[in-house]
Amino acid sequence: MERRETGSDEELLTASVRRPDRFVAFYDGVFPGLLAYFVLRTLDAQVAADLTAETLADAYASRRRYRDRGPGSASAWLFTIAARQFARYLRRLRVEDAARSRLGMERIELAPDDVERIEELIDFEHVGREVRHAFDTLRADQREALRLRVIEGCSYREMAAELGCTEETARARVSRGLKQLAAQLDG
Amino acid sequence: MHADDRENRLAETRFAGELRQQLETVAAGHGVQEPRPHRRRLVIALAIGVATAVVLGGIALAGGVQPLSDTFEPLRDTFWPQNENGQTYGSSGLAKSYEDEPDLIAVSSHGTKGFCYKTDLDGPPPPESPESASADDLNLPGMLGFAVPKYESDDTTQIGVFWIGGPGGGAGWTSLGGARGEQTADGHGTIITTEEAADGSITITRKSLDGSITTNSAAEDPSLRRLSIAERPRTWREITLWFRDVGPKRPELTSSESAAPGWLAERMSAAARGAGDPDAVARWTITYRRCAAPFAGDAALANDDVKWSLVWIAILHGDFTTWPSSGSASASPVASPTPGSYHWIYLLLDKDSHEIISEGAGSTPFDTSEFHLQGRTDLAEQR
Repeated sequence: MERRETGSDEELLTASVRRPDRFVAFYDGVFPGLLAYFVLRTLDAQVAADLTAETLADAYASRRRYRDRGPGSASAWLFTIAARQFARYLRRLRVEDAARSRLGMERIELAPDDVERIEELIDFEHVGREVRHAFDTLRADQREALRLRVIEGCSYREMAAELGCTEETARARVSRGLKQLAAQLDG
Repeated sequence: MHADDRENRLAETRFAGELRQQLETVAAGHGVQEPRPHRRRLVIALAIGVATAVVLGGIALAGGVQPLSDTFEPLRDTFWPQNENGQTYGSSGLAKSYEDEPDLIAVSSHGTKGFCYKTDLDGPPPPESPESASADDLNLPGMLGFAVPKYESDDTTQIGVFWIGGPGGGAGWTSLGGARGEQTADGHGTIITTEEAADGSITITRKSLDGSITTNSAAEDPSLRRLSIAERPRTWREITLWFRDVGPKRPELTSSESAAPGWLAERMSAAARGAGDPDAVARWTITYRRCAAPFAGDAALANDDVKWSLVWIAILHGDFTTWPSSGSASASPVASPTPGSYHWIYLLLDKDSHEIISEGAGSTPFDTSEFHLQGRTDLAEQR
């Protein structure tokens, strides 16, 4: 992919209101950082790719709202959209496609080579160590619930039978375990 | 390999190329020169004229109807006017979907028009966790109504408040976990939220017309110390101008009202089926909901303006993938979210009319086993 236009991100984004093709040049500059941002947060290449595409579609559709407030403001504006998309993904565990649909953009399925290249950004060995450590700090009942739900893929009904508790309690243990895990990893 | 090199290699992926190509196509589709803002109305008027001609011509020639939405689609980006801050504003009735709505939505109340932030009108977000769900009682502010600031179209000059949902006089909620809260506005447009935690501590937050927000807790302000039961009602009324003590006292629930009737079981089963999990587990209870007559300016509410009505709250636990279902009859003021995966949904139903007053869903497991709900029904056994 080559960058065919020159100019700062702020200039390109501002110009893209009248000249939509300038947005493509803006994309060239911000794409790697944006994809890396999502990869390091989701640890999932396909999800990161979907979030990247949706964020850029959202940014394109709302580019008229951007106001140039000096160097760095274009990036800050874009990553505000990115953070909002990421927050929605965390809430629903599903990447939205509203912005892409409006623009007629299709979802891009990653090729195996792409997955491998994107995952180069993730230090899996380090992540694995961190996850194991965080997992060990969980309460025994939360560890067991996560093992059944996440690793063995049990339904909540099966978990309730296995753990001798209600489904609601099994769900609560998974929820609290995941939250605790996330807190440990964030810390 | 250095991290920066790895990041740069992302630009060489097939994904990067395909995404770029899609953006190029989108940009080309919009044309090199888009209409200037002051030309938009003329362009829209011309487009409407052309669209009408196309539709009428199509009907005449083909005997069919061309969907208008297809004709208008390319204009959506430029449809809403913008204020100086770049916020779009207008009537939500013109929007095709939630995403299409402007940033500021036109409202009219108390005889004055104004604009409210779309995000404010959405109401409180659904609970993110079982703990927060117990604190805000299944989004009860959304069920019973809430107040949002009303602005001029410039999005900065607040001209009042707009009540959405609920009976119109204000909103109140009592947590299943023991906390309770109330929200109202005074004659100056200040939105006052009063929350009492399960331990009795009281926090009062005031959002004034000038945008300033003040929060006091009993611990910080001696005048807001924890009140005795005897003095609490009077002081709360003075502080919040709330109709807490107006109208009849909350009636006691009788034993005959605590059994789930057949119609409720059917509604719960239908809701579970519609949301994609007919084997859901339902927990339910009956309670009283306070209603007030429509809010009329700054006039004080009288006893006759307030009444209590019985409602059923049903919480369905399951793996729901199709909520809100197409048959959903939500009366909630909260905009319908995009269908997704939810672990529980709730229904608030009127005891007499059996109609759904509001409904909602949560994507995080919500453990209701610790709450004293009156009943539990395994919907799989109902089939």
